[in-house]
Parts: sequence; C-alpha cells; structure tokens
Amino acid sequence: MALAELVIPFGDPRDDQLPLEELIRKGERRLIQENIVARAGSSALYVRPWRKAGVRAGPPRTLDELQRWPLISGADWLQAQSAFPLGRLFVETPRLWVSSAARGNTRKWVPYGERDLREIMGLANRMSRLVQLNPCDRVLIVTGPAPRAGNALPYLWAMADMLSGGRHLEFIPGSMATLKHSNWPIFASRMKPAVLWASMADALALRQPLLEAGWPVAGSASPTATPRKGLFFGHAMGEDRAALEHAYDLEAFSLYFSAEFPVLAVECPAHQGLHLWLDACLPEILPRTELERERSQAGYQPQAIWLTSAAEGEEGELVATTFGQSLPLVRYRTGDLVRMVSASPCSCGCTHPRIEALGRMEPGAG
Amino acid sequence: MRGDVQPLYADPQLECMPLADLVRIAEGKLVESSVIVRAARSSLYRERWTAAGVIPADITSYAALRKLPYTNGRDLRLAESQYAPEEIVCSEHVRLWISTSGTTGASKWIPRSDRDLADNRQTGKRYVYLAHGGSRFRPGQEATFGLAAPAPFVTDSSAVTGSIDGMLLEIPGETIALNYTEAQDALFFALRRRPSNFAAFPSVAMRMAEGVAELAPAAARERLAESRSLQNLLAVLITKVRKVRPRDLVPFRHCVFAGEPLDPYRPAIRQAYGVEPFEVYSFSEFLGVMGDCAAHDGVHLWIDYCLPEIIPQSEIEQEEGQPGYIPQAIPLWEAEAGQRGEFVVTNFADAFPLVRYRTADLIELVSRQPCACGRTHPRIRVLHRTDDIVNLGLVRFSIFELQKRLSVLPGLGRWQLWIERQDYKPKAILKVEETESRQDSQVLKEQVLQEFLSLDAVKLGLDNHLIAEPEVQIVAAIEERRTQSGKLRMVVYAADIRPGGG
Repeated sequence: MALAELVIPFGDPRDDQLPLEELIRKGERRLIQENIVARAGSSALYVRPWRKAGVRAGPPRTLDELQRWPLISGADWLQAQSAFPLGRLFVETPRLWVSSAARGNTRKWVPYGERDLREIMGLANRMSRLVQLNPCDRVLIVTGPAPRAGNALPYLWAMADMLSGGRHLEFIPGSMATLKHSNWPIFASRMKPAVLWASMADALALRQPLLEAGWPVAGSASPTATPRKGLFFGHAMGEDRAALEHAYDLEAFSLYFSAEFPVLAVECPAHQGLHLWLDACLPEILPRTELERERSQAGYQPQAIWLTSAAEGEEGELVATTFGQSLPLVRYRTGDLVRMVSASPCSCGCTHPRIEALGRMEPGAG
Repeated sequence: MRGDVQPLYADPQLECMPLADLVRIAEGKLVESSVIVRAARSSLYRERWTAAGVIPADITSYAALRKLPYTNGRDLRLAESQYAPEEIVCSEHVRLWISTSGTTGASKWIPRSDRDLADNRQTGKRYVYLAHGGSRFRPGQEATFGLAAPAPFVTDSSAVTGSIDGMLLEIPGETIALNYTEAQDALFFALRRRPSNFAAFPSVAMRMAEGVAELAPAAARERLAESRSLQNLLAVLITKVRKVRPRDLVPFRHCVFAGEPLDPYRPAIRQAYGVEPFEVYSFSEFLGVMGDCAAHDGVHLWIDYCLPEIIPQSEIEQEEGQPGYIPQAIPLWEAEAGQRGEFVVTNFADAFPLVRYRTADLIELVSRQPCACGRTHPRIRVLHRTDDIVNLGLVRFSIFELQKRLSVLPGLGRWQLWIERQDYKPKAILKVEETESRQDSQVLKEQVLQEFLSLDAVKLGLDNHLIAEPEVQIVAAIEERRTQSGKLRMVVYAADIRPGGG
C-alpha cells in the first residue's frame, strides 16, 4: 500500500534569507489565510480571557489588529485544562500529546496535530541546516521522559531527517532516568558522536558519568573523538557555555523551545543570538518596563510590541502567536524572558531576528 | 481505512494463504534480501561462519540455512565488546540505535536503518488489522495511552514513531505516552482523555491498577478543589466507598501487553481493565511485532516475515548434559501442536539481521492449523526463559549471580529457586537445605533472604511493586527435579509442573 506523502515544510534554504519585511508579511498572510484567531476561538483556552476582555470583533485582518486581542498566560492554560474536558482544549484532533516539564497541577498538556508535527519536523531540519551539521553526523540525544516535549522533539528530528532524505543523521538515545541502569554512557562514548543534544542541566550532570564511562577527556582526544557540536536548551546558557564547551570540547549552540511553543529557535555558527523563525510564529515582547508596571499596579494590562520593532537589547517576556493546527496560540505569554539581539540580517545570511533566551520569569512575575 | 468497519486483514492473501506458500515466500526472501551475504559482514557472524566454512551465497533455502551455526545473546554481547559497535551493522546507514533491557546482563545495542523502520511500520499496520480487524473504527476519536520505558529502550521512541507511522499509513488516532518515571504524576490527566487503547507491560499495567486504587481518592479530592461540580463531588464520594479500578475511570476497548508473558496476569487484567487483553510478542533484537488476534489462541508468527524454528526441550536438556552437543532445531511450520522448546529465528532485517538466533525464550506451539480468524500463520505461546536467566516477569537476573552470593553463606547446603505466583505477581521461594542442624535456622533464612534481596533487579522489582515479597523456606531435602541429562534443576517454574501449566 502506498504511503501518504508527508510534506515537511521549511525545506527551502531561501526561506531562511528572505528580507525581514517579506517574512513579516508572510506571517501576516498565514495569520489571515489560516484563520488562526477564529479557529483558536473554539478552544476552551480562550473562553475566559477573551470573554473577560470583551473580544467581539471578527478575526484580525492585520498584525496591528491582532494586538487588540488580550494576552493569555500559562495560568489561563492550567485553568482551561482543569475546568474543561480535554476535548474542548484543542480545535483539531491531535496526533500526539506532550507536556511541559512542570510537575503536578502545573504541568501543561499540549496537543500536537498532524500539521504541527510536520512543522516541528521541518523546524528540526532547519536546525540541522542552520547549525551546519554534516552528512551522517552521529547524534547523542539525551531525551527527557515522556510525555515531556523534550522526549518527543529529538525523535521528531530523527523522523524528519529520515522522511526528507536529509543529512542521514544517526541517533543514539539515552536518558537520565536510565543512567544507573543502562550501559548507554559506555556505548555512547564508544560511538564518538559528533553532536550532543541535551538540556544544559543534563549535559552538566552527565559530564562525570560519561568520563567514568570512557568518554574521551577534553583536549586530549583526536578531533573526532568528542562531539563537535552541542545543542543545549532548558535555561539561559550564560556562563554555562564555557563550562559545556570546556567539558565536552565542542562548540555549544543554544536552543530554545517549549512544549507550548516548539519553535526550535537556535543559534547559527555566528553565535550572535538564536534565530526565531518568523514564518513559524508571530513574536512579540513585553518590555521589562511594562512587566514592572504590571507588577506594581494591580489590573494594569501590559502592552507588547512586535519583536521585530524592539530595540536591540530590549528585554522582556516573549509573547507568541502560532499557526498551530491542534491548538493555535494567540498572544500567549510564554513566561520566558528574552533579549532582542538584532533584527538585522546575521552574518550567516539568515534574516530571521535573533534573541537571547534569558530563562524563566520569576514565579509571580507578570 | 477511514471507513466505519475495518477489513479483517491488511492483505487477505498474505494472511490466509496456505502455510507451505508462506514458507516459500520466506525462503524467497532469503535470496531476494541477500540477508546471509549481508549478515556475513557483521562481526556477530563472520568469524564463526568462516570457521564453519559457510559460503553465504550458497544459503538459498531453509535446508541450506539450517547448516549455519546458531547465534545467541551472549555471542552478540561478545561481538559488541570485542569489536567497534559499528561492526555488527549490515546496512549502509543506521538511523537509530536502541538497546535491550539489560536485565540479562549488559544491554545489547541494536541498529535500525530507514528500511528497518519502514518494515516495522508495515508489521505495525498488520498488527492494527490483527487486533482491530472487523471492528468499528472511530476516526479521530481513538486515543491510545501507553506506558513506555525511558531511552535507550525501544518504547521511548514509540509515541513519536507510532504517530508518524500512523500519519504515513493514514490510520487515525492520537497518542499519549508516559515514561514510568512520570506515571504517578501524569496518570490521571492521561486517563481524563478517556483513551480507548492501552499499551504496557503486564506487570506495570497491574502496578498502575494498584496505583489508581491508591491515588484515586486524593486525585478526586484535588479535582473537586479545582472545580466544584456535582460530578467531581460524586467522584470523591465513590472513592470513599469502593476501590477504584482503571475500568471505572476509562472504558478501554483494546488493551495490549508486551515485554513479558501475559498469561499469569490475564485474569487480573480482565478484572482491572474490563477487557480481554491482547498479547504482543517482540524483543529488541527482532524487528516488528507479532500478536494474538481476537480469538486469543496464541500469538501469530508471521511466517512470510521470518523463518522460525524450535529447539525441543529434550534437545536443550541433552545440550545441558553433554558439552559440545549441538541441539537440533525443527522448523516451526513442521512442529506438532504442544511442542515446547527454545524459539530460534531468522529474519531479513537490513541493519541487523538475525540468523538462527537463539532467543532463550521457551515457547509452545499452539497450532499450525488455520486460526478462527482465518489466518494461516502458526500460533505460539511464550512461557519463560530457557537459559540461566531467572524470569520474574520484567525482573530478570542470572541464576549464577545468585549462586555466587549464596555460595559464601556458611551452613547452607543445596538450594532451589521456585517461581510461583501470588495472585498475578511473580513470587520467588528459595528452598534451602542446612548442611547441619542448627539452633539458629532463622539466622540462615535471614542471610539467604538478604543475599537474594541484594540483587539489583530484585530490589528494583520490589521497590516498584512488580513482584511479591520473596520467601525463604528451610526444607529437610529439596525436591529432586532433574533435567533429562540428570542435572538438578536450580530453578523450577511452578506453572511447568501443574497440569496444563504454562
């Protein structure tokens, strides 16, 4: 029986280098053509916040009109998933459920539809391209426990590379949960992977067990004996970059995603910020000044600005509107602090704006 | 497949053709897939085959195949330790490595190529028809909930690969997978999605059922605190008066179990989940899944997909008693119903083909007559291990490891490990003799128990409530259960000695 053809988007490298204005218009077209806001309106996620904000107008026809819609937050998400049947959370039937890394009642559950999975796979291929992985690179993936997004994403990357006839990457999985019950650190050390994918916390914690398992000592091994590239996520890289690069003798790339917003923003070899894909989301930023005013002034509604309009160095909370199939995000406060690095074209040629991920907002902030 | 009622078979001809024709297809694949020529490159086979004078290109039929030496897990482990891991690979490229559970020693690593993953997808599709054939499919409304082991075990990737395979095959459905480590925290949320399908290891499924009973009162109270509805209030009241089972929370329609024999758990699972469970037989070294159909009369072995053999128990015992004896296997398609023995398999995988691989799984041929479902693929039942590995469901350890620990205990004579069941949970009973009558038998019992509990696998199993509390019994003389060759059996599976056991 013939297989369905899975069209995996973002395969054209020219889309990485479109002029910024064209990328913005592209995002706007998706917003309108895919009827994002109207579709989102049937999700329980938006019922309370939109009712409270008195949103009655028809769907936005421009990006500026979108900013009339209220911001929603993780608290709204948790409230909706608790108060409504799960079937009311999504707008199109999901293929796969993933969750945030939080535990207990603060764990957010996220439905991914078929198109969502294809988009994530496309973004994963784009990540390989931007980081300039080599054909047949061997990748050690330290997966998080299912149902967390950190479990699904590396396997989606493997499937993406396979289905798109990409770089023929080879994947070796391991997990912190099996560190003491499996010989994967030994096997991984013997296989000398060229790429390491792990959360920063896991990568730092793994250094000693990997050394004990025979991982080549940094600096003393041949160039192919240790990973040449590391893709690290989970918190702001900051000073950990040097520690990771030293510990593993590699070039560290910062990666940003969350279960709700699996955009796979990633650094290029220029290391001047993470490229946030403008054809996969519509990003805004809530500047720190607005966040502070919100904190000090009860009931104040902070005003977001488009990320592409933000000044270089502007810091604030990232707000995302996505083109999700199963659950589109409309002005979702990610709870992640970012710094705008630049909206100018990067020396690598990529025109998608660059941010720096600064980590989670403090509890209660915003 | 998006219609109302699923056809019975993915490919009616392939499922129902005469057994002899199926064997011919498999023999044809021996040649078409060049499996033996490819396998000869692998560090697992090449030296032993060269020593045995094997000319790979000559292996074009089952008759020729059976001249090849057997291979087993120990050979694989040895090959992986002596050579670079890549040297076991027979394909041009590997996409994904997975590992065996490692409960029988160091984990073995198995490569999968893109072609393997595609073949796996096709057997997955066959399995969907096997399990759901003739039933009503509800497009878009079928959710599957699975409990998976974390990486590097194969089930870690199954939620994603299964979802993408479903998209490629246009089989609708959604998936929620949890690793065990997250199960307690995320279980009730997953159940709120009211999945129709459930997949897990049997012992873990029963542990989950126990967990549901334990956690349900608190979960119901939490839900009520979050949302004060009449429904949530009723839920709290119900948990006060009766033990909650998974079936009370979710009307499962199809539950499938793998990783260990289902039979001891079957009645308990029926009770807890309210459905007749399905069994899947697979192992990491093997590519693809095989399972029972709605007739529940044994696991169908896809005869066009592999060449299965069986080493009769009598041959295994002769091998145990006679060093150097090479036991003779018989092709499964020629064995008699009721024949018990070790399962040996040859398949046509791309990256890592199994060639006369001794699985150490003791199986019984149920029948090679056509099944009530119409399939002509023979049916087997998987019983337990044939090697030195003690099988307490998911908990496995080497009997030699136990022997090493017990050998240091003064006053301990002969001993024998009995594997029984306490309800559905495996229970180990160590029957021991004292070398001389002692005042402090209790001390010896305690020492034996402590040595037993010091086995990592046993400790993990107990900590996770997968096995019953082990017991030590001091006996005047252990029961003399011997192999055909006269060796005293160190492990006795109680199910083997009951009428109709297994």
